[in-house]
Amino acid sequence: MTIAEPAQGSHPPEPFSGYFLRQLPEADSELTSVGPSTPMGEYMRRFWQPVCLSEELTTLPNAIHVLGENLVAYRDRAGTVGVLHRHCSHRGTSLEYGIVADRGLRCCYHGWLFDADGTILETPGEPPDSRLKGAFRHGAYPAREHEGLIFVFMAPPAEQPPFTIYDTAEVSGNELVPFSIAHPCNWLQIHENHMDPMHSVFLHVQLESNQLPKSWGELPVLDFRETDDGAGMLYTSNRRKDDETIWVRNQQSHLPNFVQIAGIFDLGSEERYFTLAGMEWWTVPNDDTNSTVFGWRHFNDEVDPNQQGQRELIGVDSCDHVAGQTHHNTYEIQQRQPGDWEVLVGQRPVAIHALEHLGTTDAGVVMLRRLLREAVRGENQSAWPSRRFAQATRLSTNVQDTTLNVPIRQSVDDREVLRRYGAAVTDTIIDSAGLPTSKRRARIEARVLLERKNGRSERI
Amino acid sequence: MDPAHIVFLHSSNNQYQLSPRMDVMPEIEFRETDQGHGCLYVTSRRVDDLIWVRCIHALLPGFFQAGALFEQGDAEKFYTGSALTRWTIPIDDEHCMIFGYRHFSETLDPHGFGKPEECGKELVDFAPGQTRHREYEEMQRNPGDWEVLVSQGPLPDHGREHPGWTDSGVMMMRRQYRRALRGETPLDVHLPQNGWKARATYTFDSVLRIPPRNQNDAALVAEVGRRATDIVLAAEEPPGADRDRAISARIEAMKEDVLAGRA
Repeated sequence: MTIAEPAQGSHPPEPFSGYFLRQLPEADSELTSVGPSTPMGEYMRRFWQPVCLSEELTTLPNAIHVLGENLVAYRDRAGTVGVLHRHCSHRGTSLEYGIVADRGLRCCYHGWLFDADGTILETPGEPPDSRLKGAFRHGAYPAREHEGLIFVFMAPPAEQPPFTIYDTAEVSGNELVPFSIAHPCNWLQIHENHMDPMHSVFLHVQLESNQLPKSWGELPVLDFRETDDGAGMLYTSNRRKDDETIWVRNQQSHLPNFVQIAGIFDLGSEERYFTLAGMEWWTVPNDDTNSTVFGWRHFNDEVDPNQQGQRELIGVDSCDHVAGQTHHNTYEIQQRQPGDWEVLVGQRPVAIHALEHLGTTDAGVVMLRRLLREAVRGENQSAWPSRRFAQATRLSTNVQDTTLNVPIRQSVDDREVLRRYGAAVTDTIIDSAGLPTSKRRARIEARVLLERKNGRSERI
Repeated sequence: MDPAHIVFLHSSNNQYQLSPRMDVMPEIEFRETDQGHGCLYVTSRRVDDLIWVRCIHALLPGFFQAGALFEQGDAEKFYTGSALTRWTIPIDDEHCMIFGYRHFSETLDPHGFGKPEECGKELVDFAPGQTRHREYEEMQRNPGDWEVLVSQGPLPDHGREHPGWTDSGVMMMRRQYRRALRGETPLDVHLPQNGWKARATYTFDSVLRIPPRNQNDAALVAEVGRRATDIVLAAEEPPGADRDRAISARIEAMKEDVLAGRA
């Protein structure tokens, strides 16, 4: 039998070409494969990664799967958190059935006791003169706990970077509420979503969903730029909230898999400058086709002035910020009201880049992929933690919302107005990195004042 | 062939899945049997004035018998045989099914703890954690054989293990399989010996009133276990009640010898 070939040279292709488009190209494994010894897997292991919530460490151990490795996390009775290779180094039984001990985790099968650093504390059935327990160590990774999340470092211990605190958590009275969301798909397609601000217009508002306030449905003027530290990028989206108000939003993506998301609830039409993050978000691969998002939702009066956040909805595989974030909807609801979860997981277990048709609004996704590729290839040393975290453990960020009273004027191109104010705010944020939040806010205010004067004098 | 797991898995955290007397390490002896095509282990432990000898016998490939399942080791008896016969049958390289019989008799289970009505397809009446039919949390809180065996992975990598002395039985059995596959040991060990109608097997329990008599009680306990096992292995009667009575009498006589200090 001969297989029919598609007609050559036709552009665009002929209709009903399904038969000719069945072949699936390979996934972009340089960016999507994360197991041991893969380029991206090794890169990600150089960073502290969240792997579960504190509340998941109970009197029972917690079986976790991270970057293709089977692990077990536990908190012993003395309070020490440990993350061990899941299979007992004696004869391989899973330590998820282990007994949380006063110190360490005890295998249920023969009672061997492992400390958090992999030291074998006891091999109780062995003869008293046995030297077995001193002869080897069990696989273990450094772990630490911060604000309700458990973090692990999965590269050689000598490469361990300092644990980083971002300035977004420093708003006074801010409460960080930890959450996780499980996704049965590759990590990259989840992570990219945050550098795709255009999807909010359609998925979350215009297509009859109203998952976000109406102002998100206005087409924004977009800008994408790499951050000066060489370790990520940010987007600026500038849009009209109403005829009197424009809204400048920045969101920042830190290589490889961390993003900070600005406010997620309606901030109102009052002028406000530099309102910091609404949430942090790490997309952590379980393996190539499963990923768990970990992060914090922020609760404070600045980012949620109308107290719309719902703490009781936030936790393991659950969050309160937008509809359609988890797998817990019925299939019909998923179809009628698709959210981020559906559009991300729906891209196949591993999205195939060779099948995509990218447009100008995908510029952020394209930039992010390029930055990731340069990083894993070693072409950008600034993207590796040894360079990035050498100086400080407190990092200055650029994620924020600003709303300004700038009435619409018939005589000028409003998109040019949006672009100019957006650039003024974003330039100032970047120039003021490292300063205390209050000083950065004052500088933005001053710069906006200047922009207003310029606008008047240039009659735009 | 792993006597240590009885002490930990089946007797840990005050959750006794078998006898509470099993929560201390016994004296352990491993032996090859059946011309290298089978093996046994003997565990012998002190229970107050009694010594409880428990012997478990396995034949290649995949055949195994366990002794009395509800034995507490706290009342004298000279000899009882298997309470459980089972075969581990591979379905493929990563799945297997155990088939077998539970044995019910007055001598094996004088208090009637066994429940024939709880034996059947994917169902057996002793020790929690024998099947997959439990909630995950219950599996974690009180893991049994099913959890520790299945969770080793579909096909465990022996190269990653760190076996100790207590794994000698497992290592012996693996060596036996290797020799059998090379054709170095006889395949006909499942046939009845000596032209008998049934194959005699060596799994047994024996609880003997022999009080501690000197400082080295461990040596005495181990000696009693060794001598009882020698008697069972040497019995020349065909399987049946006569054999059981003869072994019983010889073990009782051995006990009198031990009490009298005779070799």
